[in-house]
Amino acid sequence: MKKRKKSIMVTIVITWALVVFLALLTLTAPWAFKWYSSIFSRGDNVYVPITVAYYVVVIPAFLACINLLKVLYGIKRNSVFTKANVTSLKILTGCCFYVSAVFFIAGFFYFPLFVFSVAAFFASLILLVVKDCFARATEIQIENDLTI
Amino acid sequence: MGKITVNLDIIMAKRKISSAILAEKIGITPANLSILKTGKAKAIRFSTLEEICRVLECQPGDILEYSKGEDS
Repeated sequence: MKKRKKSIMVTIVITWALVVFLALLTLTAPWAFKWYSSIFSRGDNVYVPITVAYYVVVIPAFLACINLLKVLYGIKRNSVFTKANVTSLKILTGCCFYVSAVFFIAGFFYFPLFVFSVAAFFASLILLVVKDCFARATEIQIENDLTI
Repeated sequence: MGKITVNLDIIMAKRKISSAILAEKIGITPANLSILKTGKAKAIRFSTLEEICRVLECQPGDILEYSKGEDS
């Protein structure tokens, strides 16, 4: 029991750290990606697609983090298999598919972004399966709760 | 598709027993008994059905009624 609570807390802390990182990166993206572009790529022509792609996906990324935290806090309160969590996972899946699509298009301008696209697509597939599992488990939970 | 109706109210009225007392004698919460009475229950355990029949001195058929659904 203690190990499980600790595990959930660690995941919550990591997710909040990601939110803070995304917030900082959103504020400093133009300079951060310009610096990256000057060091790791041929010239300024990759700074624009990376920055544009980042700003296009940042809102879904925050939405994904919010929904992830909703699910985690629900698990912490022992509300695991609920319709609210299924909805949150649906939103998470949608965000991942969106990010995958954006990075796929941006990949034509800067090839390494294809890697992010594939990673996001893989994550969205896994989330789709997890969402379906949660939905079925929620049905079973409701049926069990209404068995007298 | 058919439907099972729970006629617990009728038998309880005949035996003059309240929900609170019946719930206590069966060993379930009043909330769960209410779920059963209002037809919201998805399933009933045999153990619960046995207790209801024992306390109300009736048969399962007195409490449970099957009706055919409308043909589509």
